[in-house]
Amino acid sequence: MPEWIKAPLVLTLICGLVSAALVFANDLTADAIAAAEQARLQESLRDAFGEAEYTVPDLQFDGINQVILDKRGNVIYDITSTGYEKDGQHLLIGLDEAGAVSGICVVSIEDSPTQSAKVQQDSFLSQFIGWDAPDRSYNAISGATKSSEGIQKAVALALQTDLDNREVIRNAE
Amino acid sequence: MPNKPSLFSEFSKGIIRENPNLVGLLGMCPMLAVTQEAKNALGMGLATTFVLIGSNFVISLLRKVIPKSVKLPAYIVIIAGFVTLIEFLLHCYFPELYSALGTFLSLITVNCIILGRAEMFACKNNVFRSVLDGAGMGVGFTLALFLVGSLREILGTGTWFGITLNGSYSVSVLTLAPGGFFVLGCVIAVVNKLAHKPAPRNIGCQGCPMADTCAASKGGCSQ
Amino acid sequence: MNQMLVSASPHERAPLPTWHIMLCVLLALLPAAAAGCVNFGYRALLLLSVTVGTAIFWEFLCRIIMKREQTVGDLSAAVTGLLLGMNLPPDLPLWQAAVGSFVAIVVVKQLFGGLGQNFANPTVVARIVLMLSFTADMTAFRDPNTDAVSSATPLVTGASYWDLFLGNTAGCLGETCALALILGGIYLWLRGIISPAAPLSFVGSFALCTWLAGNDPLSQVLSGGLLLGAIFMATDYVTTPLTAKGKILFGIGGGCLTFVIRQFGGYPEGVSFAILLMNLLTPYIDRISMTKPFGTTEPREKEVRSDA
Repeated sequence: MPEWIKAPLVLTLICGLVSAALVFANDLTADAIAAAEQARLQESLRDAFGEAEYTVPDLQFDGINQVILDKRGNVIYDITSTGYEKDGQHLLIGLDEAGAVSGICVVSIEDSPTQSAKVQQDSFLSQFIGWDAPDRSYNAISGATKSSEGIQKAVALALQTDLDNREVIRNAE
Repeated sequence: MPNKPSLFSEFSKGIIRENPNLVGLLGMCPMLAVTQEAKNALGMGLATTFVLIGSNFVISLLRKVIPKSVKLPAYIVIIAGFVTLIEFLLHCYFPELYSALGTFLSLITVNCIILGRAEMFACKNNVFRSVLDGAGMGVGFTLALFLVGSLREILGTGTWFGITLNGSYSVSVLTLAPGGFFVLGCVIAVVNKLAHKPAPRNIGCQGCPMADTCAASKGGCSQ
Repeated sequence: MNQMLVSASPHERAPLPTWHIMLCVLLALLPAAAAGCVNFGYRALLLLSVTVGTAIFWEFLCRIIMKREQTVGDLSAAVTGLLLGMNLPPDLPLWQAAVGSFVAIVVVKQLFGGLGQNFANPTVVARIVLMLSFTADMTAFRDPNTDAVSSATPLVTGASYWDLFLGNTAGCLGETCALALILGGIYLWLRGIISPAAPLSFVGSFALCTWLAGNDPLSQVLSGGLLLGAIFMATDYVTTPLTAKGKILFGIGGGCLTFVIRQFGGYPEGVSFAILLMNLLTPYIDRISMTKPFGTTEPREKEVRSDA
């Protein structure tokens, strides 16, 4: 078989075989992966906001990954914010029925270790509890200014989105 | 044809003497990127070993079938296949490790060690030796990652595998990039001192990149 | 003549040995160090002795391990130690100061070949490493009036000009007393050890940028480590350009970078990073600012090409 036929043929065969193997592997694992993700989300929600049944309505807003509702009237915003690293902070901001911040959960944060540790301290995060308007003043941690800003921006975004879309969200199932 | 090295030395050469990372200076990207914690370093090393063994196995199996002109694309497709496979497995069964490694898991595909071993060894040797070579290199890589990761974690944050050993004397610059380079430099210096042996008088042709064109390959080169 | 000695330049050497130059620098640093000790008390003196002592010790130990001749006698380690100590807050834990002098002497200086071979100012790199490693301790400044410890410097809180000039504010141990630093700088200039080109262009360009941005240039200049950096670290022989033109370029670059980092960056102090960046650029600055040796002309390439 001449070289110029054999080479592309072999390459195509190899690509085909590898793809087939991967499709097979994907079929085996995709469901398990999705289930594991859901379980982790539920777990972090439970850790941060207590036992409840959480549902995710089909709503999309700018800058919000997803909106989560629990039966008690709380709304939780899943937000990816930029601290020191772009999109390095994954946060869950919980607002109660009145639209005030009731809790913040840091799911993951990719800023440098010292900065990450500082902004996850209760003494810093607790200043946001009770905020009901996005333009309140806050105290950043010195030496972790960018990380603090990231969290503050996420809280402001959650509050703003809630203010703008309150009807839609509360009425969603 | 000179005697082939023993099967055991095919495996053990990758651990210190020809450690792909600390002596060959390949695969530096994951070395610096995921060694902030010993756990992640170990996970990355094991994932890379899996891909190394798998790709060496398949490439050695198909070495007579793949034409020279499509050698590289074929190798890369095979390596990428194994990397995607390990990504699925980690995402499913070790999601914490998966998110800790992030992009660097996908970047195993372009890790020079894997393509390097495929080019230099797997395409010229039988399947069994290739698997041993892949395993040895993988173990050496994992040990190197684990060593640097442990040093950076213990000295940089005072913990090891998340267990706090001593919180108050940590030098956190070691968990950042500059400290990583510094620790790596020191480890490379020490390992090279240990690995430094006079060159053997008669080397076999397996690992030599010139073997295809070398006229002396009949009798083995004595450089 | 039976023998002709052939050697490389330089052929004319000044009578000043290294230790003499270093001694002058030590003397120039003393007023500011003394002011720091007066303001911050016994702890400051202890910290300075630890940095100087450990710097000398690391150099001594390192030369023994590297099997080279001892260079502790040229006093450069002492200068590095003192300068480093003056860059630290007075309450820094002593073991961290020892780590800092290790980085400065062993990593930046000795591992690269000793005095004259370092790629960047050892003190600057050590300060940056300490800042990154021990951020909390490195930003715990004490107010000399009230003994209150906080992470705010006058850069943040503001203080009167007179307080800033005399060093009556919180900050690192040797950088608060502007008067002492300027006196030290003038002394070095009069002795011919440093050229005023780099410090003046550094402070000048920084003041200009600050004024253009609408801030108060005088208080910005007198706060933080600007004067200490501009006078004593931007004039280091090894890591700054050789010619006057080069020094001015270095100073301008450093001043502008310090302004940018202080204004837009997240770190409270921009001078160390600015000086480090300019150190890295020094070889290139040297290349573009080199003076032509007397009598040389550009090689005439065009003629050669037409011949071939």
